[in-house]
Amino acid sequence: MHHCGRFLKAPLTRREMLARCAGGFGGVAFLALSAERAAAAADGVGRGGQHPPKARSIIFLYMDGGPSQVDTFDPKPRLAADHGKPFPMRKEPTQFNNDGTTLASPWAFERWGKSGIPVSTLFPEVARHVDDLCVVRSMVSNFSEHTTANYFLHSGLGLSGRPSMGAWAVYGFGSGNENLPGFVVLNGGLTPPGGVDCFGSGFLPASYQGSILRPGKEPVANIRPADDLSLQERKLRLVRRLDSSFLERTGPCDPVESAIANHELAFRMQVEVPGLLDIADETDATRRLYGLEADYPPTRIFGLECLLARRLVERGVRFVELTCPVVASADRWDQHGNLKSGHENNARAVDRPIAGLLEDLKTRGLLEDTLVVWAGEFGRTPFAQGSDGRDHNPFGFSIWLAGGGIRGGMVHGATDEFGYRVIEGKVEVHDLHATMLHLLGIDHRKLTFRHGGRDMRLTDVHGEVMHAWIA
Amino acid sequence: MRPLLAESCFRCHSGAKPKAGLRLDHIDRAIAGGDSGPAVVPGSPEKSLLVSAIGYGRTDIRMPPRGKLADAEIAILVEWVRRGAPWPDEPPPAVDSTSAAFDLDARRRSHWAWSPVERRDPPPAPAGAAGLGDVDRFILAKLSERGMEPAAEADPRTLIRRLHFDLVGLPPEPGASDAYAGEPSPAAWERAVDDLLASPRFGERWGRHWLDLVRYAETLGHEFDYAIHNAWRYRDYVIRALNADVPYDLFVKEHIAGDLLPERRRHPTEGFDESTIGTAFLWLGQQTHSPVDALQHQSEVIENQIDVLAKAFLGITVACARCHDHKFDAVSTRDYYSLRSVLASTRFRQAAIDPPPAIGDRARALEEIRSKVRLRLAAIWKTEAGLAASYLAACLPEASPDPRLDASRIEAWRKALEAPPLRARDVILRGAGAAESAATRDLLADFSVRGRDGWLPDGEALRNQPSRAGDIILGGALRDGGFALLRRGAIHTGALSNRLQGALRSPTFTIDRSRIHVLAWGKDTRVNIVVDGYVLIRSPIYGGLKKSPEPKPGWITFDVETWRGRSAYIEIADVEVPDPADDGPRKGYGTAGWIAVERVLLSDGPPPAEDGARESPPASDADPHAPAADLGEAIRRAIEDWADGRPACQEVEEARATLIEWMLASKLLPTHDAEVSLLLDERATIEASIPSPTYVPAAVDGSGIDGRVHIRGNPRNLGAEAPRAFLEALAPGGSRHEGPGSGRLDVARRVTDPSSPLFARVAVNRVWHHLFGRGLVPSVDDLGALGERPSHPELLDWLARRFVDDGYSLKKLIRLLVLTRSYRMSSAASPGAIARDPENALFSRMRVRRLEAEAIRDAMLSISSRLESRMFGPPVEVHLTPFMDGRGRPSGSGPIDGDGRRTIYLEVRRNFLSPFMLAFDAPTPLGTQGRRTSSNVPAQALILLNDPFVAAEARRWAKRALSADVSGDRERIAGLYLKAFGRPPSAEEVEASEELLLASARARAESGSEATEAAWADLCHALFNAKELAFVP
Repeated sequence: MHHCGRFLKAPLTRREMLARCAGGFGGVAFLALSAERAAAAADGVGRGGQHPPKARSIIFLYMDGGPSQVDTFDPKPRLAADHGKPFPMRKEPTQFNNDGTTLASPWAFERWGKSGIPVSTLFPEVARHVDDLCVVRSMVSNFSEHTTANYFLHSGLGLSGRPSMGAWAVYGFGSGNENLPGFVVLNGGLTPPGGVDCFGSGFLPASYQGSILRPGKEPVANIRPADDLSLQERKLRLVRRLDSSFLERTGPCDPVESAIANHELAFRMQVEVPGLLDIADETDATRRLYGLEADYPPTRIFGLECLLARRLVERGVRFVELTCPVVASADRWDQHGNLKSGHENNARAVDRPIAGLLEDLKTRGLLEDTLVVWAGEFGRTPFAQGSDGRDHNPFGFSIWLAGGGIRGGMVHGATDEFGYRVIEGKVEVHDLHATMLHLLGIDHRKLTFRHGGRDMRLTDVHGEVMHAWIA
Repeated sequence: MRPLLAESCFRCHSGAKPKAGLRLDHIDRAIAGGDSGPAVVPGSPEKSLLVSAIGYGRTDIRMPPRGKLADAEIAILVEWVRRGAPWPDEPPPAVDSTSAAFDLDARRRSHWAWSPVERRDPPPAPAGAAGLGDVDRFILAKLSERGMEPAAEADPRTLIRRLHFDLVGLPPEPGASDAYAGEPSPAAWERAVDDLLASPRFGERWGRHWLDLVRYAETLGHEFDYAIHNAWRYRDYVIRALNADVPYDLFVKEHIAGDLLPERRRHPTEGFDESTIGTAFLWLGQQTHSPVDALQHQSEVIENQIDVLAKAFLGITVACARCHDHKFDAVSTRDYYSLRSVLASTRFRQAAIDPPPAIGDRARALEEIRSKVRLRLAAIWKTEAGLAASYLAACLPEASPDPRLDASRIEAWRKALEAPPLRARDVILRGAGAAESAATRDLLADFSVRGRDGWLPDGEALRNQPSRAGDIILGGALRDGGFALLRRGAIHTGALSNRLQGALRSPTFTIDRSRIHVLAWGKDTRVNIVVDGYVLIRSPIYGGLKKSPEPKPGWITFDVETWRGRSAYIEIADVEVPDPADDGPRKGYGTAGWIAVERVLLSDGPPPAEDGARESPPASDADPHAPAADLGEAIRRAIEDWADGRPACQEVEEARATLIEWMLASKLLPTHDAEVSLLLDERATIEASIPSPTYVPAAVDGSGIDGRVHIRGNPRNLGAEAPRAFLEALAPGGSRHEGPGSGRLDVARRVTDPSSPLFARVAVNRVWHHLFGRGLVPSVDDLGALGERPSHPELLDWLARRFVDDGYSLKKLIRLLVLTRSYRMSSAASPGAIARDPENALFSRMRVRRLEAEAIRDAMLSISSRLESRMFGPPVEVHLTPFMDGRGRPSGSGPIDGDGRRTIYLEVRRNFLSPFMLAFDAPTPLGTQGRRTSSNVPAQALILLNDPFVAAEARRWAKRALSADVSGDRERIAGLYLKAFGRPPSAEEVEASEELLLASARARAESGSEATEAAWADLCHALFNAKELAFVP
């Protein structure tokens, strides 16, 4: 059984643990009782594990700000026909209350692959992989504001302070690498509205927090040794002596033993993490594949994130979330105005890198058990905000999934003829979460943590697994 | 039709546990309906909820949820209902008896925590253990039952270090350790306990425990992380209260209803109102920027308030009952919504807590001066008015000047009569004004004639009733003379001085028109429309609900069409502290702002036009030169009536005031004499001494409104009435609040009632948890059915009783516990104890506890001697690392060492929480967290190894150690160990430390003092990394 550290084995002698089992407490009971939880065991038999997993890792491509469904994966000819006319459907309140007329998409759609799924010209590269994608056109969210929708998308509740889906995934599935965090956030420059709490561990122990990795000199906080490693080793030699005599005085003591092991791990991580980021061993072809040599700087940034995501997954990291790079003249995908240039720049930043990631994962045989999810916190209105923008729309938007047991080349659900509301196959954020956990072999109803008098779940009392998406 | 129902609806709406309580598998059940009432009204599709739900015509209920039925299918069902909803003649399914009605009494009877606290006697002391204290006898009895022995007493140095961290959160100074180790007597222990309980550091330590319960933060989180202005005053209040050992029941009462207590607790030296500060705890939760649905948002905010209130004070999870009766505890949905009614009748405000002498007494002095000024002016103007006819006559072309008249005054009259048309005649003779067409407008308030009109005043500026036309006022837009005459009755925050501040809030009303019009004038103040309790009034959605008046009277119009049908109140604010979400100084704030409001209307059109006319009376076509005698007489009478305070109708009062103002402006009346000048000088002196009010986020009662149950938590699906009341299980006779206001004071009294089975148990259990590392009920925030059961129920009750008998003194309770033998046990287990009780649930030994994040940081500062003892005040800005990013990021970063202040004084920004704190399990401020996790993550080790803060404190410590006057390195090393661990080093440890010093000096090619200092810094850094620093055995 692993110990509580995010990527830490138990100290070999868990005397108290053994005594506990001898005293009639089952290991499982202990898990539920212990404030400092002991971690999930080997892959796939984690907490809430009910069936063999299809996926071992998840890469979550977070499209900050909410890309427009009717301009990407959900073509609506009616918008062009009614362009400039008053929007005929009953409208819900919007964030800016500055609703304009029906707005046609500035982009054409083309059918791709064997499946013939239409994709707009914003994503010429991702479109080539459409036969690997399950395009969901019937997502809904409960919130029209960025932060509440972000918290909701990440944690299943529209408030801050809850565990993020990545934290739940590692809590349920355990980690596959002793020297790396189980939940890594690759920061491309933008932090989602709502802040880093989108990646928090909430009431779960801090071990499940997303570790933010910023490609650069200090990718993880405090990872750069403050001292020369040999000097640090000298310090640790003294620390070890002090600790062992301390342990003699306290008697057997798990928390102290674990903290000791933790120091050793941290010492190793200082070497491991920079190695992970050093992409010198990647070929030129791979670099090109991810767009690392693109002219557009944001493409290079997101390309590096995608490449690092693959390297993390290769090393057994369970949940990798990518945030968007800053692009010129657009605040995220959040085009309240200047839809055309804003969406174009955002798509330009991520299209090639994402396509490269899908291809590279496939080539290396990693796509089979790596689930890739592309999603924003909501979509955008089919009517204009002002003259050339779109406001937030949580009533029907598109996301896609690939790999990790997902059936490719399929479309799920539908919005109305304007792309405003879901009319068929509505999918809640809870359903997405339930399905993601399911693919990891976890029953979302059984992955619980007792907090504040309740057995808390990522999906609260909701969520249905979308079996139709699974190959 | 039936296959259609079966296919589309039965999955959720049939069987024993149908969703929303609705079954559609038999017509009787469909007619009986579910939570939202009948689903089918046979023959009436338009009245059938089923039909509107499948038609997707409503926003709240749309069925089937995953997609609308085909039009043809909908048509079938509609037609079926129209035809009377025929159904085959079959018996309806039996009512499922397992989903029996929620039985509150049964719940209460079946769970231990609802039973009264019993009076218990401690078990007898076992033979040979005479003199054992009461608490120890309870503990020992349990251990004996299991054949276990308690652990031996810990060594004195371990004990004194444990005591210091537990009571004040800091390591003992070497002197304190040495002293106790030298004489470890019971008397010395008691002395140490009493000293620490009396230390100001005690409140800082236990205050932080308390802040965990109330999700303390200084910003609101979400998109822009707006500040909760003055939240830190609440933090200081907590520290002061704990240091002063304010009785715990009073402390909690203040949290719920401190603003309503008949006797406020005042700061002993400064005199300000402490009690009101407690209510800030209601407003420490998160809030969303510009929510599309303010009603939903209000529901979330109140849910969090109820959740925190119930968990922190009562250890129960009431918020679980928001959508359904509690699944396990004696809490019904109606209970939840009764509390919701209480809190929805409560409003946010920034309350001024100044002691009466600071502002109130000055306001009264100004009031007196104002009366004297009026009296004096009345006297001199009366004299002057008697001459009006003569002056008018003197202005006639053929007049021969009366020698009694002042030549310059004649000139002034002449000018006044020549320049603008004389309007006085019209004004004076004007009769009752034209009645408004009341049919098209709803009057919300008329402060000119109807007093405060039911609005709720707050603050010194609004202590008095509204001013009437003709009142002398000492604030507002003043003429040179230093006073003015109010021409129209109005509520006026500058009536006595512009420096006085206050707010006036309307009763809650429903917006049923598209416009709100406020006839107002003023400066540096604002009018807010608060919809559904949403006070973050700001663009994009809410920006139009905040407006500032201009100095000239005029209508301020709000477009509220968007919020038609919603609950709202109007806030007239002359308060210098910004509203929530207003970060910088904006229009509407100032220390010398003032606002006057005459009337407030609701209408569907523009504001009334005639008020513009009232502002400047119509030009007269009357001949200004005749008849002078009539006019003169009219003037004399008007001024005399004013001077004598003769009541008249509003129009006449306004007319008099307008006339006098016109005469003053035309210099036809003197504005001064010696006495008036003296009075006004005195006024200026007093005004200059009025301080800015001290504000704190607080509660205030609004209209008392009994809400309704929200079916399944949906605020748009209303069920039975939920009157303002406390939980039924804790108020058996019923506790409905009948009067005006929220009923919070009732709730506060019920929560803290000495007969409550929960209140004292929860409190003593929390204290036990902090001292022993685990509660007698381990789930400290939940004593309900899902919580854990008490390991020592008798002891819990004994302590609860004792706590009540001791006047709810937390310090006495803590003292009692740390004087026990149980507290003084070693963490090394007695033989067999680990095998018999691996969890140590029976307290056979002390737990080894890791210090909390704050205590680790504070300990480092204390060891390096950087720690500041300064208490209280605005927080030290949070230190920002590159990993702390996102919207609302503060423009500047705080100092890396937090200015050496204790962690409790560092800023807590929801979106920018300190990574150091998070890594060591400081809670995210979401809800009550009485029990922290104690995790083990590499980030902790990485911080200790590489964080610049830790390294800097190690260097500081080394520098200080090197400057100490000691005999040699060995003694210096011993000093370090004493400081960090409260004990001298062993010989091996000294040796190992010397080795590191040598190795370090060699590794650094530098020479001389720099190398020495670096080497010692390395040693100090290593000691910071030792587990003994952060773990307390």
